[in-house]
Amino acid sequence: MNRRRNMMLVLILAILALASFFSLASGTYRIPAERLFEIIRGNGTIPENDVFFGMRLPRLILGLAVGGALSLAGVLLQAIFRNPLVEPYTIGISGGASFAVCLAVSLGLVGALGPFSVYLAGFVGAGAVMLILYSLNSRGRIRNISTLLLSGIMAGFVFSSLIILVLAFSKAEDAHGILFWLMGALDHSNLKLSLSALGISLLCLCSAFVFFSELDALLLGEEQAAHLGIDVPRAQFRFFLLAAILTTVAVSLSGIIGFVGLAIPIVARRIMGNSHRHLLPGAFLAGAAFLSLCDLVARTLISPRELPVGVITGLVGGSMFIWTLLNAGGRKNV
Amino acid sequence: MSDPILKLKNLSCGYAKGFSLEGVSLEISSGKVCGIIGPNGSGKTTILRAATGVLPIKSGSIEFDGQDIGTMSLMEKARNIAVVMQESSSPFEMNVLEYVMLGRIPHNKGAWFAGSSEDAAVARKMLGTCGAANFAGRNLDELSGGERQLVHIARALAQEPRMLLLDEPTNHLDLSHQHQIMSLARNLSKDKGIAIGIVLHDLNLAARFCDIIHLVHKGRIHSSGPPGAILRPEILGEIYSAKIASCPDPVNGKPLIFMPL
Repeated sequence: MNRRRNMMLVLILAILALASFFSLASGTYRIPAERLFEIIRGNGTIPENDVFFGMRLPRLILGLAVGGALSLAGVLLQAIFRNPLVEPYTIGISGGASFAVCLAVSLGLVGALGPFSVYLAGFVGAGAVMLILYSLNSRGRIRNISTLLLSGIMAGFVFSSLIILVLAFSKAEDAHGILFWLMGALDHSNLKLSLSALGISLLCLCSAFVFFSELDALLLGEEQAAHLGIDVPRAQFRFFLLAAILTTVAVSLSGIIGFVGLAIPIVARRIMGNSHRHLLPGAFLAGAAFLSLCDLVARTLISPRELPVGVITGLVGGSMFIWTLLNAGGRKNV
Repeated sequence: MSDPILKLKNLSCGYAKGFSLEGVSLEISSGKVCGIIGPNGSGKTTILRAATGVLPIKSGSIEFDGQDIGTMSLMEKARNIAVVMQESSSPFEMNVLEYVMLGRIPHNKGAWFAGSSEDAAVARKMLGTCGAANFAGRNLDELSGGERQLVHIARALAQEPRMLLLDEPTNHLDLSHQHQIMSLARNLSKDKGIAIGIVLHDLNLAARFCDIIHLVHKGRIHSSGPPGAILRPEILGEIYSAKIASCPDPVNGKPLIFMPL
């Protein structure tokens, strides 16, 4: 079992490396492999440096961060809700972030304060929802984890309606920008933002990994986990908070990129098993590899035009999900 | 070997809205199998849950090895008390060995130590104790109900507890597996000195395998004592509101309970 897992991990890493290489090299401005190394060593020409450090590297790093973050958030949420069909966009946090970003665009804040305001708005929106949930939880209003899930789903519906309301009152050009952002894209970043997203995602991965045996125990149910010595409410809220932070990072920097947080954890569970010691890093790397691969396709399929990466992840992830369902053969994990 | 390790003294506790226990006093001793029997809804499982300290106490006390259970940390409790609940399934596939290794969580010192080779060795040993060593490489879902129950007990034993609580472990099992589970419980108490608390519906299994029986009725302990003293037709008839008869088991002389037609 461990040997198979290690082989799978090596395979995922190989896909990740290949996707990264082709992401950096491919595009309208093609960079040959030998030039890539020269650019990294600081010997690139000005146009090469502009393309590499200004566009491709930030985009690749953001893809890795967001893909890993969404997949990891999916794994955490599926464990705390004991439901393999829960994903980051079902907990209301993403709805809060999306609504705040749409509102910021519609009110002209983005034009006035610059592109950073998009990310700031996302964090404010998601943070507000997190605070509400935290306050409800600490006052005992959320009595069990199912209430939390249902509240998240309902919050998602409310925010979807609010986003449509914002769209209805927006100017045509703003509405177009909002719609494009909602479809999901990785091209609105710079190196600093991308690195910060990767840093936060990796920090969340490490934090979750320290408590991986708690996640394993939660799969057995709240009471059994408590009998194994786990402080269940504290563990659930800790992982919920981590998932919320990961979702916020992803939504704020890249919009709505569907299916990564649902399909990748399911596939990762099938190839890595359900022990979170292997699953957490495996799912993070698989999500990172998947999204960078999808972004590569989105950038190059009809080059020089680009497709929104959310469309590719939706198509590939959705197909993969249906395939997994049809091939489950009565197995769990789906 | 027969000192009471768990003492419930005049305990009243229960759920926020609904069923509660009133003035329950009972003891579970090391090296003994203590059966908890009673009609559906009488409070058997609630007693088991109370014994682990998860229910808020209204009055009375729960002592584990002389210590108030409320003062024990969750991990300390998990190192001493293991529980196998009625419904122990997971919506996720799980490898048997990894599942049993979850029982090592209370003994882990942190992430880097969890799932060590020592933990795997303990898990394999406990699977062997339960006669389930051959299932180690399989998935939990592939096992029959009886095999799965053995694995659940192995997971509980991996906690290396001093007391093992089993909630209706023989439900839905065939005769052979019922006997296997109950024999295992008895061997664990006699050979390893583990205190066993076991909720049972099958009165004949209780008669054959338990050292002491607590009969529960409407949230109270109706009577306690050895099987021969408790499993009497007049007592059971009153509690179960049915005509119940008994005769000595021709093999071991213990009471054999049945409902005459």
